[in-house]
Amino acid sequence: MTTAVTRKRRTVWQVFFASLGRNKLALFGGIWLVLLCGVLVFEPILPLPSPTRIDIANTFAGPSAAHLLGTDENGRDVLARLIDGGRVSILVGLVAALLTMLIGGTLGVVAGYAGGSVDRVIMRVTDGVLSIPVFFLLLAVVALFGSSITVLVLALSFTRWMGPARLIRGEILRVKELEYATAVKGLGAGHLRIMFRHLLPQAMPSLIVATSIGVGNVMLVEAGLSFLGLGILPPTASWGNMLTASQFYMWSAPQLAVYPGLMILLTVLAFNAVGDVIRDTLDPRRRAGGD
Amino acid sequence: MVEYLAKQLVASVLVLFLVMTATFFLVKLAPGQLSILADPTMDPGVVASVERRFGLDRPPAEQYVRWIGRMSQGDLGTSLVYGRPVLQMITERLPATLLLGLAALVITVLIGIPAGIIAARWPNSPVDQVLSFIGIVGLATPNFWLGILLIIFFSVTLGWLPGSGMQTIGQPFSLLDRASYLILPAVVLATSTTAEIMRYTRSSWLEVMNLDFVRTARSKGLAEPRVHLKHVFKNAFIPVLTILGLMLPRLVGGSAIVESLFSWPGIGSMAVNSAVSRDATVILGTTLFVSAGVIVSNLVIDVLYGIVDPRIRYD
Repeated sequence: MTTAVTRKRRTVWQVFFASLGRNKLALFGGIWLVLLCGVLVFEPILPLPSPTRIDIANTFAGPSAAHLLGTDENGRDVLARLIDGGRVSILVGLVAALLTMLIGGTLGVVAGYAGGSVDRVIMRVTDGVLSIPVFFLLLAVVALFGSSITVLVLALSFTRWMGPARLIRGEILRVKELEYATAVKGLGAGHLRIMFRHLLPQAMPSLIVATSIGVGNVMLVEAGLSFLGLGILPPTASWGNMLTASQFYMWSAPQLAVYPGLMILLTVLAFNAVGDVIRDTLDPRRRAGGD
Repeated sequence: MVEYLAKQLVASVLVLFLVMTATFFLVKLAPGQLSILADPTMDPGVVASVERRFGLDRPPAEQYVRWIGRMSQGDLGTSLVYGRPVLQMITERLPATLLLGLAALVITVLIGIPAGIIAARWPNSPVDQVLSFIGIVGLATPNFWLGILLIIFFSVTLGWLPGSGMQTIGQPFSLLDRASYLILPAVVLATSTTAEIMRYTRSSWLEVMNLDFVRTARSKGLAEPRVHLKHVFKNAFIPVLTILGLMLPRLVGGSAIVESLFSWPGIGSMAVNSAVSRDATVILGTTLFVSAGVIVSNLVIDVLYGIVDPRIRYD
C-alpha cells in the first residue's frame, strides 16, 4: 500500500515536470514565481534603499548604481517600492484566493452532497450573484467601510466565491454516486465526514487549479481598486497604486507607468500558466487525451 | 416556453431582491451612519434630521421593509454630496456608458469570434499558437495599465487620439470627433472579453467539429469552408452566445475603471467618484441600477436563447 502510494506520488511530480517542460509559458511562469517569492521573502536582508525614503533633490532619476530602476516623483527608489508593493499585492491575492476557495468550496460541497432544495437554493443564489456587476458592489463596500487590507480581502473573497462553488458542486455530483461513497455511507459515516473527508479530496485537483488562477484574478481586481485610490492606500506601496501616481507624469516620466504594470502582467500570467499545468497534471482525462 | 420564461422571470426578481437585501445589510453593518460617512464634521443636530429623513431612527425590521419598498419603486434617494436625486444623476450619464459598452461589445464580437474561428480552423498551427498567446496575455493584462500605455503612445507621443473626455470642448458634435474619443476606452474595455470570447469560440468550434454530422458533411464531399460556415457555425454559436451574456456584468463592472481613466462622463466614473467622496446613496443606487440593468438584459438573452435553441424549451 505504502509503496504504491509513494510510487504514484513520484509519477505525479514526473508528469508535472514533464508538462512544465512542454509548456514554455508555464515553465517561465514557474521560474518567475519562484524568483519573485524568493525576492519578496528575503526583501528585509537585500541591500536595497528604503522604499519610503523621500529625496526631493533626486526625483525622476534614471537608472544608476544607487537606484537600479531610478526614482519616482518623490525621489523614492522604484525597485524597492516594486518589491515592497509586490509583497502586499501577492499577500492580498493569496489570502483572498484561499478564503474564496474556502467559501466557494464549502458551499459547493454542501450543495452537491445535499442535493434537492438545499442545492437549488445555493445554486440560485450563486447564479444570482454571478449576474451582478460585483465591481460596483466592491466600490460600495469600500465607500461604506473605508479601505483597509482586511476590508479589501474580505470584500474580494465575498464577491468571487461563485465560480469555485459551481466547480466543486459539479465535482461532488460526479463522485458522490461512486461505489466507494456508497460504501462509506453504508459503514455509517456521518454527513460531515463523508463530505469533507471522502468527497472533497476527489475535488481537490479542481480546487487547486481554481486557487492558482484565482490568485491572479484577485490581484487584477485589487490592482484596479488600488489604482482608483480605493484599495491599498499610500504610503503603503502596491503595484496598483504605484500606477495611480504614474498617471500624472505620463508626459514627463512614462517609464514609471511601465514597471508596476509589467509586474502585474507577468505575475498574473505566471499564476494562470502554472494553474493550467497543474490541471494537466492532476486531471487524468486531459493527461490521456491531450489537448 | 411560457413556463420557462416565467421561471426565469421569477429568478430575476429574486436576484434583484437579493441585491437590495445585500445592500441594506451593508449599510447596517457599516461603521457610523450614512451621513457621517460623507461629512464627518457634520453638526449632530443636522445628522439627527438627516437620519430621520432617511428613516434611520426606526427599528431595523421597519427600515428593511421601507428600503425594499423604496428601491422597488425606483426611488434611489438623493445624493449626500450634491443633494440631487440619484436616479436623475444616473439617467443623465447613462447614454455615455451605454455607448462605451456597446462599442466594447462590438469590438469583442467582431474581433473575438473571427479570431477564435481562425484558431480552430487550423488548430496547433503557428496562427493558432500566436492567437492563443495573445489571448493568454490579454487575460492577464490589467486593463487600466493597457489604457495608460495606449494614452502614452497614441495621445502623448503620437498625438493621434485624445486620451480624456468625450468630445472636443467648444466644437459642435460630430460623429468623427466622438469616434476619436471613443476608440481608446472601448478597446481597453474590450480587451479581456475579446480574449475570452476567442478562447470559448475556439474550443466550442473544435468540439462541434468532432461531432458525427460534421464527418457526414465532409464525407459527402462538401468543401472545407462550407463545412465550417454552414454546419459548424450554427452549432458552435449557441454556447458563445451564453458566454456573451455572462460577460455583461464584467463589461459593466469594467466600465468603472475605464471611464475613470479616460474621464468618460458615464455611470462608472460617477460610481468611482462617489466611492471616493463616500457618497453612499449614489454608490448604492448605482449598484442597484446596474444590477437591475444586467438582470433585465440577461432575461432578454434567455428569451433569444429559447428562440435560437429549441432544446431549451423542454427543460
